[in-house]
Amino acid sequence: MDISRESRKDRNNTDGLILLAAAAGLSFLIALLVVLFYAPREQVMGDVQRIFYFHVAAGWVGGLAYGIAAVCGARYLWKPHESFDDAGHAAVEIGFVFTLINVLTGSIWARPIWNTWWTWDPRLVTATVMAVMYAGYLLLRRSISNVESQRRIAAGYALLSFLSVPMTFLSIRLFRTIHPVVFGTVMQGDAMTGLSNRMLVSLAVSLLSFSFLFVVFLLYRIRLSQLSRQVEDAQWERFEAEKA
Amino acid sequence: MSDERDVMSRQTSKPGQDALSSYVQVVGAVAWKDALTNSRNPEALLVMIVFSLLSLLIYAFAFGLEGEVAPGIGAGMLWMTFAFAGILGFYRIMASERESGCLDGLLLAPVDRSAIFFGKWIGGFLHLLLIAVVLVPALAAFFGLPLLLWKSALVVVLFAAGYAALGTLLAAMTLKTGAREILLPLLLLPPAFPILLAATQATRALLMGAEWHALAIWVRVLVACDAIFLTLAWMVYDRLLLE
Repeated sequence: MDISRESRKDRNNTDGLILLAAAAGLSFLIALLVVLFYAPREQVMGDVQRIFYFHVAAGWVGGLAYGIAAVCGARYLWKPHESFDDAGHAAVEIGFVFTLINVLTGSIWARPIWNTWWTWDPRLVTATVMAVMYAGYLLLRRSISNVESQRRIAAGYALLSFLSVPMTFLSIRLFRTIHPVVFGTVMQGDAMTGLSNRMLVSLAVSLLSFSFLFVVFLLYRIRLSQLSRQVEDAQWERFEAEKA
Repeated sequence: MSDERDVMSRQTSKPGQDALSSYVQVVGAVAWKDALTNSRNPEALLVMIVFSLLSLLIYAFAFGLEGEVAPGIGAGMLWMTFAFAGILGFYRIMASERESGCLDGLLLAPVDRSAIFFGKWIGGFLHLLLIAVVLVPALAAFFGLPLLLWKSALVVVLFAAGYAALGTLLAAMTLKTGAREILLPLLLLPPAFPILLAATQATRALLMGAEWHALAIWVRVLVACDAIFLTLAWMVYDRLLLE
């Protein structure tokens, strides 16, 4: 009786997730169409510039994910509950992938525009340091076997790692850099740089669809943690029963 | 009326002062204990110092340096060596407690855990300063770099404070991991990035004979990072080591 109710609730959850995933996929498709066909062709860079909409959106999702991980980490340290750990872990895993997408798309853009795949610009370095830091977070988790300590220490490291996020965001505003500053019209050399209205709309659509996609991934990843814990518990129960 | 309030405030401030002085006592006790055990077994410190001198020699022939060294390379050599030699010391901060079976005693002590952090931090900080006392003059002498100035001492002290804070915090975090020695550098160096950058840039400016204002921004970055690292460690340390 109890079990059937549980499984029915589970199925409802899964149905909801599938619907959300379909909506996120649709929004991503819309973003793709908007970026490719609605967004205007950039005057100097041409079509290459279109990668910018995904580059910024991936970077934004990275920052958002690490912010969520830091908040979850703080919540876990002050009020331990496994759901905060699930959410924090999920956020870092997904944020890490989006950070890699951000660095990779930046590199692809830089090849025709800066004439090199990579340059030792402050923004590139800080973004990569941020990625390495969260790779460290994931390795740290793997290397601790005691679940309690794993969660607590991961929460602490998520808080510490978050320092790299404002550092990355501010690096192009504090240091001399060749990375474009997009938000707010800024004087670069003699020219005013900024985005036209259609570009802003395209960017907004891209940001929204990436955020939506992130939320769906996050929910799925949290659910995966919950399910794997259930499986572990069930295995443990069976083991105990067989022993007795 | 004002007298009354005076008496009240004196009464309320007294337990606070007691708490503060006992907190400082704990910090001092932990730092003193570590200094004493380290002075009786100075191998770790000696290894760090010899390692840092060895690194200088390796850099010298790896980069093919003879005579005068460019400021950029000199500053880089100083901070790379310092950072790597420091990591060797951070392993010891908590591992020595565990090996000698003193960790449980330390954790069972009825004191604020953050006081343990500050005690350990003082130990790590002093270790770094002792390395610097040998490393910086050696670099200055070997490569003819004008490093023996109060300004470079200030940069070293500020860097050591922040680096020791990170090292002490991460030594506690990696205590429970299966592979703590390999993981520590990976976890330590990325958050140390801003202070490493600031220290390197400040030293480079110093070696190129820049004025104080060129250094000031990096000194400010170092002070800000030190404050952030120490505050964060103070807030989370007792929650990381619960058992």
